[in-house]
Amino acid sequence: MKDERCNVLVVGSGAGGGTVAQRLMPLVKRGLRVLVLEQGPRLEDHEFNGSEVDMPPVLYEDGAGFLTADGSMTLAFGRAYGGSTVVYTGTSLLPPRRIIGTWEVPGLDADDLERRAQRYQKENSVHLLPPEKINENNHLFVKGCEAAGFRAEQFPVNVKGCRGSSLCNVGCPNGAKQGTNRVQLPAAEAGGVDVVTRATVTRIKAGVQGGIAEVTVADTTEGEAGLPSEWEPGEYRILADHVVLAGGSIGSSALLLRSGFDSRLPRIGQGFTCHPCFILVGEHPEPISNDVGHPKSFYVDAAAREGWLLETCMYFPFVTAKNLTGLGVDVTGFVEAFPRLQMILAMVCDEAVEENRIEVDSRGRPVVHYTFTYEVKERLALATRAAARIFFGAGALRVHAPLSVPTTLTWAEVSALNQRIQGDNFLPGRTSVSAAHLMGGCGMGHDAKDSVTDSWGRVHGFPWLRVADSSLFPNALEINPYLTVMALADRVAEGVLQEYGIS
Amino acid sequence: MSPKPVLKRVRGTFRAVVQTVAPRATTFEEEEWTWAESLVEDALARRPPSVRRQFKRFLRFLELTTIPRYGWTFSGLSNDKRLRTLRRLERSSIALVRRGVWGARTLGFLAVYGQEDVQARIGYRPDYRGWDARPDAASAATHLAAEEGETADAGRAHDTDGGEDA
Repeated sequence: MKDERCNVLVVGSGAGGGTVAQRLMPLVKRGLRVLVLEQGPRLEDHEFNGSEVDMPPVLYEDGAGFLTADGSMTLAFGRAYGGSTVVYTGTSLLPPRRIIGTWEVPGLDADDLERRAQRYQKENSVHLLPPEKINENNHLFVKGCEAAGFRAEQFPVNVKGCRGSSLCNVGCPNGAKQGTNRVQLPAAEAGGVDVVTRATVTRIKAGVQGGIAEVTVADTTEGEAGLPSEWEPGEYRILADHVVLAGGSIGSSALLLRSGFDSRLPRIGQGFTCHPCFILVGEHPEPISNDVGHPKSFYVDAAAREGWLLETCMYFPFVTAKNLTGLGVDVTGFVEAFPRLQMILAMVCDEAVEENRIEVDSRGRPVVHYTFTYEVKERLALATRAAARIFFGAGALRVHAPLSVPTTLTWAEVSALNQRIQGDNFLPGRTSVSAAHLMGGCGMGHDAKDSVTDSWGRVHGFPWLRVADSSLFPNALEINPYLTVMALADRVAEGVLQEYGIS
Repeated sequence: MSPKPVLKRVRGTFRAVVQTVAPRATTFEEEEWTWAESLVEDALARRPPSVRRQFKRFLRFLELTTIPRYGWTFSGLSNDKRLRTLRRLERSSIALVRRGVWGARTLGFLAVYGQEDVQARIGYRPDYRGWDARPDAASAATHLAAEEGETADAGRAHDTDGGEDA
């Protein structure tokens, strides 16, 4: 085992870790060492080939096939230089004041978070795409919303030089999306921060001064995408004055659990939420532009009123087939009509409940327990009905609705949507459902009885240890979370800087 | 070292599943089956050994489960009867059985719609050059935007400072 030493160790390089890395550059100027460890690989630009078969195994945990313990929901999260910011669509919404208030975290101020998030909006070139760069899949959503009586809002997105490849979810092939892999991490590295990829932290523990991380650096295999690690493959022990965990909801929670911190912090892994989603499709009579242009330009926000959101989206043929519900022509009848498909992501707000939690198995691997509550199933039904109305309002001839029996609805059935689409039709293991906004597990709060950290991400009782990712959320955020993660991570980094007398 | 192939002894059942969940596969030539099976073997090779064993066991269970009802193994049935069988099983009261069907259908869809040739045949044609590669689509989208007057979120201006796109 090789020994390394640093002043601040950051575990993870996504929205949280990338933000912390950049913010800690002043420490490097003072001659201190900041080290970022990322489990996934660092890809060269030419390796983003846009293939839905080639890219997920490289960029996502379990090749985007990570399932909850009972196999009823797929959880998608990134593992690469840049974490999930490599594979999101770059939708950039400010932290919602309504939700931040309901969290009731002592010392967490919505104004403060908003100010910090605005800084990253600017840094990441967040703006609204002009109409001529929006494809018909998105325009039809607006048209359908007008017909069905919903208010469509445009997503600000963090792209720069977007060519409209439509391939955001398998990593932008043009480097246009301004994730931490394009903005914060390169800046941090230019400023002297060390980033080591293919490095998995297996365990952390308290040292005499600060923390100790046990790390495995993986070798590359023949033909594998990505650059070799910056370090020699092997086992390492890293001594750090401060450790910042930013491995995401599942990664950070699992690391603390397998390191035994739950004996003093019983809330680790609790409070997991995730915005369960359906991919819904409507078939139009004529081809529309759907596989060119940014896939996610508009949304309808009914979170406050009814607990659901609809977002435009466009996934790939296999992912689409997998995420529809049913077998044979119920699914393939739509997939085979790909050029005529309009697509909507129906996303619902869940709540932190006791049953939904992160644990680790005997080998320390994360296991996520998730039960679909009555409220979540009803909200999925409400969202599906709204999406069906929008599809038909936009001119679709038929719609795939997972909570309808049978799943295909035609225009003639538009008046019967409320009867046909029912939450009771949700059958775990049959109904395809997925989630990409994974939150909670190391929630902020008052003390170790109700939470894992304080509002600055400091782990209760461990002054050398902090958390800076979506695991901090005490409950669901109800919108796409990455700017909120960056704002929270910015606070965490500020706290670290203060330890060294930098304000 | 690569794990052992999973499909070797359950190939007949697997192909029957694929043809049932994605009827396009009924016209597959041997070359397409080779692609299909390599996609699935690659995906399974990345999963834990327990998942590979479960998948193989599920296919064996599926092959035999139709004998009491139809007097034939799953792979010997018509596509209609296979589909009826899978539809019954995907609504089973046993969660493990539902999960087995979901896993098998997912790999079946991968075997068909994960193939680039099939994607091209159904008209999916993304290009890293985006709009530059699809002037026809660009012009249609511009026309639709103009026609609608872009009323969504009319109170917000398109940012002209934030990025190069505006």
